[in-house]
Amino acid sequence: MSKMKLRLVMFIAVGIVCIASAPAFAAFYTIGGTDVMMDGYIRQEFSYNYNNESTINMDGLQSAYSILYADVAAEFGRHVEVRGIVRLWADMAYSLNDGDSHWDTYFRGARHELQFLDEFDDIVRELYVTYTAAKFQFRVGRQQIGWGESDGLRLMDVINPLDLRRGPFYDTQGYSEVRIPKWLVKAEYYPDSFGDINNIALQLIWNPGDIQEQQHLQLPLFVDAHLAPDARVMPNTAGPWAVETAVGHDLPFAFTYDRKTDALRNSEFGARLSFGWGDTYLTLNFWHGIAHESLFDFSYIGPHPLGRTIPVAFDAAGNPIAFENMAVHADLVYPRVTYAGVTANREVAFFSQLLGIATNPVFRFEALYSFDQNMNSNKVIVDLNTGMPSDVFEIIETDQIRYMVGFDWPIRVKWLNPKKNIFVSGQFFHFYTVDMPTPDQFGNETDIVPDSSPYHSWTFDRNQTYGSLLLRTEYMNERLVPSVLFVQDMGTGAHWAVTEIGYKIGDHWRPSLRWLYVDGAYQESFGVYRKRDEVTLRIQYQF
Amino acid sequence: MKRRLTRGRLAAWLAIAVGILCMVSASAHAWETKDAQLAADWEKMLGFKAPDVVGKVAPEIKPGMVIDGSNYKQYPGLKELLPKSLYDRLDPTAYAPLAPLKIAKTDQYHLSRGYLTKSLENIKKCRLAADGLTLEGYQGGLPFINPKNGNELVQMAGYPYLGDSFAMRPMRLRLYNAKNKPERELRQHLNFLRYKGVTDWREGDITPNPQDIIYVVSGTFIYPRDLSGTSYVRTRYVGANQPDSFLLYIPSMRRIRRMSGRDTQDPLFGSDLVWDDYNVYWQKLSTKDFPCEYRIVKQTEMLLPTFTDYNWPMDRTQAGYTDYRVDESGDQVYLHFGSWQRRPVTVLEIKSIDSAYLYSRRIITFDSETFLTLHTDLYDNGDRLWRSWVRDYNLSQEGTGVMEDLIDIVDVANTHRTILDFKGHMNPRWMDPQYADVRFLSRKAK
Repeated sequence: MSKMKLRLVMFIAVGIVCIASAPAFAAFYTIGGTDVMMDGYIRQEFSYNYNNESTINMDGLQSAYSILYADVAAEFGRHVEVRGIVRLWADMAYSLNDGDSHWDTYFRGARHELQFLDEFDDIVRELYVTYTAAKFQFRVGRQQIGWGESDGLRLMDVINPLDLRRGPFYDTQGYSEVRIPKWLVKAEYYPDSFGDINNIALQLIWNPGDIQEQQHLQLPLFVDAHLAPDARVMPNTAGPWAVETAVGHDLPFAFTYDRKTDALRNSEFGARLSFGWGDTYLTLNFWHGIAHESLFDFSYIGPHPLGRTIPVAFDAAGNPIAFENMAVHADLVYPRVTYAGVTANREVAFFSQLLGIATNPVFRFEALYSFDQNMNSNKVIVDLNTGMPSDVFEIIETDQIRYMVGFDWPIRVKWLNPKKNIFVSGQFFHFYTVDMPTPDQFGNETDIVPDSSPYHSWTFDRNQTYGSLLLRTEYMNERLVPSVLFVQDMGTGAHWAVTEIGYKIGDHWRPSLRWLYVDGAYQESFGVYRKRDEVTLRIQYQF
Repeated sequence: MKRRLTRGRLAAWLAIAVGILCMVSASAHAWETKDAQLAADWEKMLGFKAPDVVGKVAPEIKPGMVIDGSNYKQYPGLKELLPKSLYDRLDPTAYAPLAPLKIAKTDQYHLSRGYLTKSLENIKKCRLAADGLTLEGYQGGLPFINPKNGNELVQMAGYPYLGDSFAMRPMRLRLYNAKNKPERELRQHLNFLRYKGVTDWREGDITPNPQDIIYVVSGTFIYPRDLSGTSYVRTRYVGANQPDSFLLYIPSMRRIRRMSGRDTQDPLFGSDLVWDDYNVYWQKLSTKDFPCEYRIVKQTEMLLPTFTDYNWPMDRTQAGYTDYRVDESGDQVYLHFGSWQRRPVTVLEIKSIDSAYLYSRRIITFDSETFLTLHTDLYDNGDRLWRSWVRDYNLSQEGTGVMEDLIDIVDVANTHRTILDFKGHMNPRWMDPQYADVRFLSRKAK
């Protein structure tokens, strides 16, 4: 270990010890008549990758996150609350792996972006004011709003995009740590109950133009490719949970960016009506916003504006012998999206009575209809340079239906845990694309990937299906908390599982050990995170 | 020299004054009514007052005595005056031994005027339905002034005096390990709002109430960090066979989830508190879901902790109850109730008919003067003692309002302990349905 690395590790360790040895903050106290609640944590975690997939993984230390998180809420009287959440996040892996040729080749490029998150949006996670009256509530400020019922894959949770720069497997049960907050105005109205209808809340949301995009490692492409029929994505990359990188492109890109603009014309609007109806709790949702993912609006293949060249001919040894000035010219566009959805959950006694189980399952359902969704699809054109068919992107419009059926059921399995229930949560997802693209002018939809094309054929079926199963229980008066989350992409056969054991030491220390296993016949659905088999040790001090 | 003497005298006077103040504040342990007429009416309703009916069992144990691990065997009558689970804890080698018992005189307790009025009305109006469990004609107060059988007595646990509202700020769950040393702590802000059967400060029941809600309990965990923000609303309905509704806000998901209203048998976040044990007995009285048999075992007298009386914003210490405390300073933890006194009690046995239920039986000790529950023993399916509770109450001497104070829960089978330690508002008038439905979760959502 070099001196530099040693210093860094020592710095982290000493920092944790110093902070932990300081008197613990009070969680709740009163200052001048104002109730103030403050808590947070300091987290250090190390992920060790043990899969030797050379181009996408770092064999060994993959990440070393250091996080400071503080959450402060102050209540002024019974009506007004101000809340702020700040987070500092650093990845020491960039320093600890400094000088490693493999790391430098594949991961150094993201160093400026991920070693220290120092942008305002990264640090001030949330900041809002809430005013509450008997029948109304207003919340204004930077915030995240979680709609929907699903875990592991998001359906109606459409308001905030995700920060996926660290992959799709981080905080998959909650998303709270990876949602990107937006500046929003949220208003809620609570009518009286009537008849069997109770707990009624009408929520209206307005985003005055703070358009946030999904954050990816390097190029923000096609994380929503799984939503697109017959989508073409980069070689060996991208999928339902995965993200794109710049690795392996055949052609450089020349983008005329149509980036997000924080303008009033980019306002987003949402409404949700939630209510209980007998034993069922329902929500009706509507969202008219802007896509979190950019689409690739192809223009033409032609000379690169900066004169970049690519090899177009090679000798027998594979060395390039001829170069051509060429690039894909395209725009990144952020189309409008319109979703309407429904969620429902209901406790059902029938199964527990049938099986003699003490608790009832709660069934969950969530469905979303996406109107005229813009998607990338392939299109074959005649390459102006070669006269050959060339596979490029086009944008199509189609409706899509997505739904989830699931259940939560705490079950007592005495031989496994005589003192606590085992929480079992299962989900089945189905995405159905209403209008699949028609065959191209050449009469086929098969993959045409000429050398000059940057595209690779990886398509999605009209029907996509996914499943998940979560098991969690607690031992030793909840000091030891094991859990397993298994997620299956039924279309590709790929799957991933997170096994975690958490341990509670007193009020403050929360160490955990986590094992992520990614496998399956066609792991490309996990993109650059395929084979991201890793073990993570997390040490967290909470206050 | 003269000046030194003056200072010395001053110091002596100050010491005396402080001593007197301490003694005066310590004497606040006696629970003495501030409404003599209400006390007299309460006695008239019951036909007795507690001080008049105790003293028959082990009369050698008198106020002023202190009983601890070193001398308890000198008083054989203690075995009759204490539930066995408590008597065994006088042994210093037992798990979670009892702190010394300071014996005080017996007080007369009473509940509120409104509660008394409705209790009297129940004599004519309230009765058990044909299923033997559902209450008919109940409008608040004691369902039965003189319960004749177990089914009537258990209604006191199903409809206990809780005031019209209370707000725990906070409820602390202090967890102790197998060595009876501190393990960790949880804190929540808990709200209670009665919809039906109001007796204290509301003019009438809360309307509209189309769901026929009896009361709602809501809460937000504020400590530790990994629980902070977790909020819930639990609604109890009149219908005997309608399970509670349980909505939970999970901060890590930023979502409200419906939980199984029947999931009431798991301990709460690693503590020894089970949903069904809340307030000693919170199991939904039902003829279908985990039905039980109820039997009055005996009416007798027992030594149990003396009640306190203090209200928000004061805590126990500020109100002078300095010897009601949790002492974590020694080799192990002691819970000190300021004093113990003889109480007339009625003992109820509840036997589970369904073997899938976590307890085979419960023994619940009711204070016969207030029908508040003071002690319980909980037995596992092998009929072994599993958990044992003992507690005092924070009961208003003016007659309106109640708050939990200290509850000692010992898991005998697994040598684990939870002490519930409270501070809060009795009958806060600001409590309204905003704390009892989805609005509460929306407000707490963070």
